Amino acid sequence: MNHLHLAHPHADVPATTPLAAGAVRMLDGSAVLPLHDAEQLTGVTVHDLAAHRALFGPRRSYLGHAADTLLADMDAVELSGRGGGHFPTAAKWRSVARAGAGGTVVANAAEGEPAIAKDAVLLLTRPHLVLDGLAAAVEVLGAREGVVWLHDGAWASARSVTRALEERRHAGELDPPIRIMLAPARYLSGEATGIIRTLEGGPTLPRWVADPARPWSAGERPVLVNNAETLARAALLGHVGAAAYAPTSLLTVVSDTYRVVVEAGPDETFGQVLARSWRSPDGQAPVAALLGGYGGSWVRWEHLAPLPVSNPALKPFGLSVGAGLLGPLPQRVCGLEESGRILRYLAGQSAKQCGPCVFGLPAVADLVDRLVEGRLGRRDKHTLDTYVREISGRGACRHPDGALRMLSTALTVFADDVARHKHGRSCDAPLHSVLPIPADPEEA
Amino acid sequence: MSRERMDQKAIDARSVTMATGLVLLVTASAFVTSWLIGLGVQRVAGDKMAPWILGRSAGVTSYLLLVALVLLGLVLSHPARARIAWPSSATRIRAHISLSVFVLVFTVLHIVVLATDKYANVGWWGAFLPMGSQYRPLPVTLGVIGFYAGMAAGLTAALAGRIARRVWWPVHKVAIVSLILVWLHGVLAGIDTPALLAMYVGTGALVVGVAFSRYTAVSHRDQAEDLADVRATELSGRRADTAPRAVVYSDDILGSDSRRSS
Amino acid sequence: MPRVVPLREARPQAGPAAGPRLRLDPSVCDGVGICSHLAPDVIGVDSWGYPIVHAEPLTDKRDVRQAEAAVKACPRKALHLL
Repeated sequence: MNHLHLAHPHADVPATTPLAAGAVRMLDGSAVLPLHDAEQLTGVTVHDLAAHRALFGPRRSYLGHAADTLLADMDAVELSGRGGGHFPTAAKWRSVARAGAGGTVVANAAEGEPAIAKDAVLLLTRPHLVLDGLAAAVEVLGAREGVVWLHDGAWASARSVTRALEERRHAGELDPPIRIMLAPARYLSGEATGIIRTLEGGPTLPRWVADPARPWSAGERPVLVNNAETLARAALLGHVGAAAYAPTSLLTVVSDTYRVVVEAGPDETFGQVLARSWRSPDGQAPVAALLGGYGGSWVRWEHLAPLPVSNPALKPFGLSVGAGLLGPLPQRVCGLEESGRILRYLAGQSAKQCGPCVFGLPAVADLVDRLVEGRLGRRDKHTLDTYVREISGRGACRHPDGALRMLSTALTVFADDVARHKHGRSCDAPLHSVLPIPADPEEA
Repeated sequence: MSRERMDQKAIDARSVTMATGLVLLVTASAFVTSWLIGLGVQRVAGDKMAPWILGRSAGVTSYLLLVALVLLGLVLSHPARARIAWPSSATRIRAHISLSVFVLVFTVLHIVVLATDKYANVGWWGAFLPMGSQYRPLPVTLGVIGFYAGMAAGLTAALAGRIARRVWWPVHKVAIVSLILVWLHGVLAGIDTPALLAMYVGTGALVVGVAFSRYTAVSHRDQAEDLADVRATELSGRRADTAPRAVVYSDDILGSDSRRSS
Repeated sequence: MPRVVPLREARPQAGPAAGPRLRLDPSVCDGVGICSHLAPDVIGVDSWGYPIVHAEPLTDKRDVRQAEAAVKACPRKALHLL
C-alpha cells in the first residue's frame, strides 16, 4: 500500500488540553457492557426525567433567537458528527434548514458496528439528553417530526426511549411528534442515505446521491440525520453553553469478554484511557488498536498512546475518532488474521448493490486469506494493489472505502506479520480473536 | 428552440444516418460479393449443385456463428461474469460485435445464393417474404422471420447511444427468438445427414444449458432485492412492552472479578 | 506517525468555464458494458466489468459527445451528465 507514510513515532505529538474548571460531561462514569449485546450495563447512573431536569433545568425552546445562539455555540466548540464522519454539525443543520421547513430529524442510534455501544449507553442512561437534542434540531430547522432510529433487537434502548417519551408526556412537555423506528439488524442500517430512502417509502439500503448536501429525493421534504451522541451533545451545549461544555468523545473500548464505554476528553491521551478501561489478557500493552470503527484505521499502539482523545488533534495524522471504537490488539494475537476476519465480515455486509463492493471486497478478502495462509505470490500482491485502487471511492456509500482503509492500515501496521506469513511461517501462536463479529444468521 | 439544441439535433441525425448507412453498406457489399461468388461458382463449376452447396454451407456457417454470438451474449450478461478474468469484459464485447458482423455476412451469402439459384425454387420473394417460397415454405419462412428478428436486435444495438435510447436493451433480447427460429429453420430444412442432426441437437442443448444457467443464477441484484424486502418498521407501544428482554441494571453482570479496577 | 491519505481524493472544483461532469450511480449499474464501448475515452472498466467514471469535468468536445452517447445507451439509467 503506497498511500501510507510512516514518520517518527514521537514527532510533533500534540499536547493534551485541560478541560475548563466545572466543565459539564455527559456521563458520570464508565459503562460496562457484555461483548455481544447492549441489553444490560453498569457503571453509569440512569437519569430519568426528574434527575435530568434537576441537572439541566427545563427544556429550552429553540424557536427564534435561541437557534442562532445554539448554532454559534456548535461552531465555537467545533461540534462534529459522531456517527463516524465528523462533518461539522452546525454546517449540516444550516444546509438542511436552507432546504426548507416541514422535514424530519433523525436521531440515528442504529449501531451497525458490532463492537460499538455508545449510542445504546446514551439511550439507556441519558435518554432525555438525546430527546432534548432531537427536539432542539426539530425546532431549529422548523421540521415536522423527529425519529429515533434503532436497529431490530435493541429492545432495551427501545423500552428506554418509550419510557422516556411517556415521562415527558406525563410532565406536559411540549415536544414535537417523535416516532421510534426499528431498522433491520445489519451493518449498513445506520447509513444516512438508507434512512432517508426508508422515510421516503423505499428500502433500508444506501443509495447514491448526486449532491451529498441534499441527500433527499427531488420533491421530498428535507431530512437531517444526526448520530444520537451528536444530538445529545447539541442538547448539552444548549443547556450549559459553549464555555461549560466538555468537548469529550464517547469511546467503546473492547476487552476480551466485555466492553467499556468511556467518556474521554482532550485532557487525556489514548494511553490514559486504556489504562482505566481495558483488561490486558497478558498484562502487557497492546500491539496496536483499531480506531474509529471496523472501517477505521489500525494504528501502532506506541503511536496512538501519546495522542490526546480529540479529533482536531488526530486529524493531522490522518486519524479520526470516527464512531468511537477503540479496539486494542493484545500481544500474541495476529493482527493480520484479525483484519482478514473483519474484512470478510464487512464484505458480507455489503448492500449487494454496487459491483465494485459486491465483487471487489470478497476478491480482496480472498487475497488476504491467501496472504494469511502464506500463499500470496508476487502477482497476487500486484492484483491486490490493483483491486484496492479499483474499488476505492466507487461505491454509492463509503462502505467499501472503510473496509479498504482498515485493510491498508493493517498491511502497514502489521508489516512484520505480513512478512512472517509471506514466508509460510505462521505468527507465534495466535491466542484468539478479540473484536466481536456477529454470527451469520444464515449459517446458524 | 435554441440554436445550440438545433445544432445538437442535426449532429444526432447525422450520426444516426452514418451508423445506419454503415450497417447497410456492409449488408450491401455482402450482397454484391455473395452474388459475385455465386456467379463465379456457377461459371467455374458449371454444376447446378454448386450454388446449392455454397448456399447450404453458408447457412450452416452462419448458424454456427449465430450460436457463438448468442452464447457470448449470454456470458456477457451472466450474473457470474465478474469472475471471468479472461478475456476481459471489453474484449468480450468487441468479440460479440465482430461476430455479429460475420453472422450478417454469411447470412446474406446464404440468402443471395439460394435466392438466385434457379433450381432452389426460393427466389427473391421467398427469401424476404413469409410464405413466399415455393420450396418448403414454412421452414424458409421461419428463417426469414429469424433474419428480421436478428436484424432488429443488431440494428438497435448498433444505434444505442444515438436514437435507440434504452429501447435497444429490451429489443436485444429478441435475439434469442432469432436463434430459436433459425434453429427450427435448420432442423426442418437443413438436416440430411446424421452429422447435421447431431450438430443441431448439440448446439441447441449447449445454448439451452448456458441460458438456463444465466437466467437461474442469483445475481447481486436479486440479493439486494432480498435485503430490500427486510424493511425498517415503526415501533408500536405494544411491541416495546412485549419485547423479549428487559434491561437489568446489575453490578455483577460480568462476574465479581472480571472488571479491572482502575 | 502513519499519515493516511483519504481514499477518496478531493475533487477539483469546477470553474464557471468547466464542462459537464459524467456521474455514475453505482447502485443501479449492472455492468452491461455498452457505456465503456461507446465512450472508451471517458469510461474505463474495472476487473469485474463495471465502469470507472472520473469526476473531472469534461472539457473536450469529443469526450462530451462520447459521454452523451453512453448516458443515452445505458439500459439501467445509471449514467448522468451533470
